Order: sequence, then C-alpha cells, then structure tokens
Amino acid sequence: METYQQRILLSLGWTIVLLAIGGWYLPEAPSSSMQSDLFWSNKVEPHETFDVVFIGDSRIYRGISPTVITQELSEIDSFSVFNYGFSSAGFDTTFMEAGAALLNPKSKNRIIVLGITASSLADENLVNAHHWQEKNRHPVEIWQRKQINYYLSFFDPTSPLVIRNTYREEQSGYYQNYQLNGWIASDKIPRDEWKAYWHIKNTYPTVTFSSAVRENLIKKVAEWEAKGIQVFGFRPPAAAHFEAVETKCYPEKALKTQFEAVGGTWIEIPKRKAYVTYDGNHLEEASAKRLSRVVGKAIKNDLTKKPLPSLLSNRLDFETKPVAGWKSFQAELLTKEASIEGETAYIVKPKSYSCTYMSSLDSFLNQNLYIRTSCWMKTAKQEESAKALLVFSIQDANETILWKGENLMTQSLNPSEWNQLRLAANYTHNLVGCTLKAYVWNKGDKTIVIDAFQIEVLQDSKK
Amino acid sequence: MVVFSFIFYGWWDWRFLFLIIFSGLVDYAAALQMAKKISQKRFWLLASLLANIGSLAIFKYSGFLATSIDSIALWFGLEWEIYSRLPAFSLIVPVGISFYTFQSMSYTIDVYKGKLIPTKNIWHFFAYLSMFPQLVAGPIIRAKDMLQQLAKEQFVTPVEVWLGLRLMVYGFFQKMVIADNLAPIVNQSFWNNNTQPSCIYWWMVMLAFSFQIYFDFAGYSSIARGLAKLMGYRFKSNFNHPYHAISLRDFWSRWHISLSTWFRDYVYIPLGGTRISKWKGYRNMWITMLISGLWHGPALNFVIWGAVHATCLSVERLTKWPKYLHQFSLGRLIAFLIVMLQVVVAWVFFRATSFEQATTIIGSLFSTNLEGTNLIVEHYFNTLVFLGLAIGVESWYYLKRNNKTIRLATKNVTYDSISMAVLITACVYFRGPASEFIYFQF
Repeated sequence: METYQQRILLSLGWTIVLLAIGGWYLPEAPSSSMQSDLFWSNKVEPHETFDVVFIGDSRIYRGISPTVITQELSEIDSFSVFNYGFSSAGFDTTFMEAGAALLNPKSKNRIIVLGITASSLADENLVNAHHWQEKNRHPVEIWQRKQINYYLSFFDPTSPLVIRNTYREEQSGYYQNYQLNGWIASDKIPRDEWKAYWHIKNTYPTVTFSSAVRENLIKKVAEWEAKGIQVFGFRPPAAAHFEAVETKCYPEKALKTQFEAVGGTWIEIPKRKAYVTYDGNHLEEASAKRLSRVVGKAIKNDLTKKPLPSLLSNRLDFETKPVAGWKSFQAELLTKEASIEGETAYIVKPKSYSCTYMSSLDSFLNQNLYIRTSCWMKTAKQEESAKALLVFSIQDANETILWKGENLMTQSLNPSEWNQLRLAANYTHNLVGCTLKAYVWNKGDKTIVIDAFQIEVLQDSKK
Repeated sequence: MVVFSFIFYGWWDWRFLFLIIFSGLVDYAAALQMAKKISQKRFWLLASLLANIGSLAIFKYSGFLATSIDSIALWFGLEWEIYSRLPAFSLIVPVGISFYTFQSMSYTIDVYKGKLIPTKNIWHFFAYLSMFPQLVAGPIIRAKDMLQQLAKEQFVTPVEVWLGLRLMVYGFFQKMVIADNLAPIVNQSFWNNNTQPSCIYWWMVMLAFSFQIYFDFAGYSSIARGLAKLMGYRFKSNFNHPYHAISLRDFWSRWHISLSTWFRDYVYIPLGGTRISKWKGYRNMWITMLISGLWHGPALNFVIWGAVHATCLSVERLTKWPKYLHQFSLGRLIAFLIVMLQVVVAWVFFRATSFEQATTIIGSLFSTNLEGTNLIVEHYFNTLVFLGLAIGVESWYYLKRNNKTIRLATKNVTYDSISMAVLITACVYFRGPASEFIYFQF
C-alpha cells in the first residue's frame, strides 16, 4: 500500500521538476495560446467603451491596428479605438449591435467602421459561429481567461514544429501577436499567397450572397446615422488574385452608393496591390499598419473637411409641381403606388426619358465646378434586372462637353427595392454658353419608378 | 452524488435538468410498478420506452423528421413547412441525451425481463442515471453493475487512488495531446476539401481523424473511469485498443463497448440474433448497424456509415475471410490491414459534411495523384509527429502485451512515477488547441 502513496508523491516530485525544465528550456511558440484565450475573452467583454469601433471578420482583426488609428486621429482629439473583428464574421443584426454596444455613449465622436469583405456578406456566415462561441462562454471561464491567464504564460504550450525550427534556427511558423485592443499582428513564414485563393475559388461558386444581407447592412448604417453615429465603410485589401475571385461576388459600386445614400462614408483604399498578405487573404503586420494609417487618415480628413460652397441646388420630390428648370414633366406619370418619401413618385416607361432638369451655367463663368446628382430608383415590379441610367451632361451650342451615366444595376443592391443612384464629376474652367442637363433614361423594357431627384453644383476649390 | 451530478449537468443548461428528472421519474416508477403488478408489466414498459424514445425523438430527431416530411410533401407540391413551426427548444440537442436515455431504458427493460430487481431507493436510482463522470458521453453503464455498488458503502484504497489518477492523466493525455493536436488538420481538410488532391495527403488526414476520434472518446472514457475509481466505483472499460482488431467483428467488440453491447443486448438479440436463420441474422445485424449509425445523429452520413460497416460485416460473415487469414502470422497482419482499411474508409462518411464531400474524399483516397506529396513532411510536420505518437502509443501497448520483459520492467515505482510525470508535462506543454469532446454532440 505504501508503494502507491510513494508513487503519487514521486509522480508529483517528477512533475514539478519536468514542468520547471519545460517552462525554462522549451522554446516559445510564435503565438501564445494563453494570450489568445485572454485576447478573445477580452474582446467580447472589454473593460471600457470606445469612441471608434471597427467591426468585421478576420481581415479586420488582422488588418487594422487601433493604436495606429489613435495616432492618426490624435491631431483632432484623443480617440479610444477598438477592433471588434471575429473569424468568419457575417453582418447580421445581432453581431453589428454587439459591436455598436461598445461605443461610449458620452463620446463626442461616436464612430463605427465596417470592414466589408465578400465573406462577411455571405449568408452562411450570418451564424457568426466564432463570435457566439466567445460570447457564450461560461462567465467563470471568461473570468479565468481574463484574470488568471496572464500569470500562467510560463506554461504556454509549444509544439514539435517550434522545437524543430529552433534547433534548425529557422523562423518559420504562424506569428500572432495578440493585442488587447482587438488587433492580432500576424505573419506566417513561409508565406503562401495562394493558400486562401484555392479555397474561395472552389467554394465561392456554391456560396449564397443574397441581397437581403446587404440590404440589412445598409438599413443598420441608416439607423446608426439617424442616432448620430458616424459610419465608415471600406473593403479591406487582399492579394490581387484573391480579390479577382472575390470581386465576382462583391457589388462594390452598388454597396458604396447605397452606403453613402443612407449617410455613411465610403473609404477608397488606393494602391491595393501594394499590400502584402501571408496567405492571400490576411495582411502581414507592416501592411496592416499601412492600411490602418490610410483608414485613419481618411477618417481624419472626413472629420475635418469643410463643405464646398453651393452654387446651385434643385430637388424634385414629385409631391408638388416642379419648380423652374424641369422640362417635359407629365403629371399623368405620377404614381402613388410606391414612393421613397412623401406619397408620390414618377414613372419612367420603357424606352423613354424622365422629365429633364436644364440650367445654364453662365452664372459660374471660369469657375471650377463639382456637379453631383442623385435619384432614388426601382423597377415597378419584382424584376431582376432593368436598363435604366441616371444621366447628366454639359453641352454647348455645338457639342456635348461632358456626359456621365450610372446604371441602376451597377448601383443597386436589389433593383426591385428602392436604391439611390449617385453621380458626380468635376468640370474645370466653365466657359460661356454651357447648359447642364440631368435626367433618367430608361433604355430597357421594364417600367421603373423614380423619386427624390436632386442636383447640385458646388464650387470646387481644387485648381 | 445526485446533487453534484445535477449541478454538473445544470451548469450547461439548467432547463434540461427537468428532462433528465422527468425521464428518470418515469423509469423509476415504471420499474416499481412492473415488479408490483406483473399483469401490467407490458404497459409500464411501453410507458418507459415512450417517454425515453419520445424525448429522443423530440430533442434529437424532430428537426430531421420535420425536414424529411417537408421535402416529401414538397415533392407532391404541398408546402407544409413543419420545420419552421417547430418550437425553438426542440431544436437544441441536450448534452448526453443519447447516453442517459439508453441507460434509463436498459434499466426498465432489465426489470421487465426479470433480470433485475428494481431499486426502491430513488437516490440510488438517480445516482445511477446521472452519475456525473459518465453523464454526458458515457460509458453507458448498466443498472445491474451500478446499483449493487451504490448500495454498499465504498472505501477507496491507495491502490484505487493511484489507478484512478493514472487513468485520468492518461485520459487527459489522449485527449489534450493526441486528439487535440490531430484536430486542426482534420477540421481544416473537411472545411476545405477540394484544395488537396493528393491521395497521400488524404490518407494522412483520414488516419489523423481515425486516431483523433478514438483518442478523444477513449480519453473521455478513461477520465470518467478514473474519476469513478477515485470515488470507489468501477465502470467497465469502453475501449479495448480497437485498432488492434484483426476482423471487423473483433473491432466492434473493442470499440465503444458499452454501446455495442447495449445494441447487442437490447436490439440484436431481441430481434432474434443469428438463432432464427442465417439470412435473418444478416437482417438483424443490418438493422442494428443502421440504428447504431442513426444513434450518432439524425443525418444521412451516419446511416451510410452504419451501412458501410454492415456491408463489410456481411462480407466477413459470408466469406469467413478472417478465419483463413488468422491461420498464419503474415495473414494476421494482412487481416489487420484489411480491417484498418475498412474502418478508415467508413470514417469518411462519419466525418463528412455531405455525401458529395464523402465521395470526393474517397475518390482522392483511391486516386494515384501524388501532387504535393514531397511537401507533406514540411507542411504537416506537427500532424505527422502526433500521428506517429498515436501509432507509437498503440504499438507500445502491443509490445507490452506480447513481451513479458517489457511488462515486468514497466511495473516498478520509478517507471510508473516518471511516466506519470511525463504524461502530465506533455499535457501542459504539448496540449493542442482546446476543443470539446467529439461525443458530447451525440
């Protein structure tokens, strides 16, 4: 009997010795599982609220450094920033609300930034499995991860690969530096920029990207804007070949237009090919910092920008008779069957034009102009496609100097629902005798309905 | 014991405690009534089966049944949409429901058959039904084994403490070091199945899954047995090195023994086993294997998994191939390889997320595509090390069993204590990414 007690005591002694040797001599893994547990539990239950919250999937939590954003915005004020990204996150209402709940209600500038990838708009990702897995952890486990894990890093696990690499003095492995502001500074050595490509190439043709997900996202943006929260959106960059596949499922132009139509601000990411990924999908640390600087600067510019002076503004809401400037208006085409605001909208029959706004630009001679127009549009019935354009042009007596058109299909998330189409262009050095025209041209064979047609001419300060 | 078991179960979701209490009360009362009124025995057995199978049908199979009926109705142009009208609670599968309902049913069936005298002590009954070490993922214990132990006061000797601790540490090692380190390659491959065409890669993945599911479940069973031992109770072994099997019948006598024997005693033998006629024996075996597949979950892939095993068992019975091969030593090795081949291929259906995925993977397994094989060691070094460890652990057992010198050398205090310390240290420094036990979902 004594020998069994002896065995227990000896085992305990040997275990202490081996644990001590392991803790001191085993090489550290490039990513700590203790820190990972602490990181995710802190993410779902951070100790404070923030001025700026980024919401998105793994491309956001690996691609956006809140520290860099805070630095970029420091010229305006001291902003607290948090990254609320989760693996395979999808923009469903509860996930977006969970992110928004982290905003400080007393903040002067409450800002939400949505990093929108194709994957985050896929129907199958609406389950937000990772988010709920972390959110639904038992409170005791969350407490243990947040309070105890810090002191247990001595017992961080390693792996045979790490031991082999240390022995060979190789740097390979998955490096993940977990930061409590929600960012994981990541890199994988060796990098494989085609790794994620093969996955999306094979799976995306079978994935559903329904317009309802995108519409729900836009509704949420409108709701936040109505509450005084500024919402920004952008498409995080990835490897060019990855983006080529993603683009087929990603209606960026339409998304951007609708995002802006409800008051959001879309951030264009220039020089997308300059970013380096370690798997084709996720940015390595230096690129993530660069992207964060670009996004931070864009937010700063928007917060500090001054509006351009307005030279001319006209809006046709189809509730009252059109004011001066509108030609070919036909009262019999007014309809009460659908409208985005008020009670009436205007029908544009197939192969025809809507009423047209016309104005001489002679009052703004030699000035640089910024012209923008917008109009809400939808098909009269549940149609899947339509060929309708929002157009503006500038003509002199002899020729058309500028012609711009935007198609309903490229700017709509769902043509049978109301979508705002937007069109803008710079027109430098205005000369005498020019006329501005704006109208809707229904080229197709489906009847469409339009509402809230607006045109503005602004003085462009750029030389 | 009962209170702690209920706290343990309620920790996951306290609402489902009512289900286990309801199921238990029905069976406790039914068994007592059976003993009291012999003429109503059949009625009380039916009541017990109805309560247990009913709760399984509602909580585990209602979603599957509703979608199946909806699909059939849609075929005839009827939009019934039963699934969308199911109450939300019926779509949550309570943890361990398949285990404790089977345990509860075996109690009333044994009482009905006169093999067991029902207990009047409700605490003993609920301790048997809900004993926390095995409540959520087995082993499925039998009332005749457990009630006797519960009736006596248990004393725990230092030997039992040591054996209990050793079982638990070994169970944690099986789960945390082997199963959890094999899980990433399996999860990644089944999530992303079309990107790797190499047949060597897929054999590696399927071997990884075969060992993952074995060490995951055997690990849980070892922990449960060890914990019970520390409290003075004994559970029967649930696994007996199934990958040492040299016939598929042998495999089923070693794999998930508590479930296999449950199906043998309460489905296969009551159907007639092999006693009636040869062909009815096949029929009974097929029914048992299909129900066994369905027990794992309401999905076609589990049924196909059962059917694949039934087919292979039928061929084995018909041709008696193991009998011929077991006559010479090389033949035993060939028999072992044939069994492994059958088991590993059948696991594809068990793990696949769809039938299409399963056929694609089986196509890859039997293809001659070797693209990227040269990079496997470089890219999957960790997986190969833990696969090697899994094979090593099983080989070590084989050596110990067949070599007296090794057996004796490993029985001393120094070996025992050092091996225990090594296993604990491995659990700390080589643990894989934490994941739930696979059998929790069943």
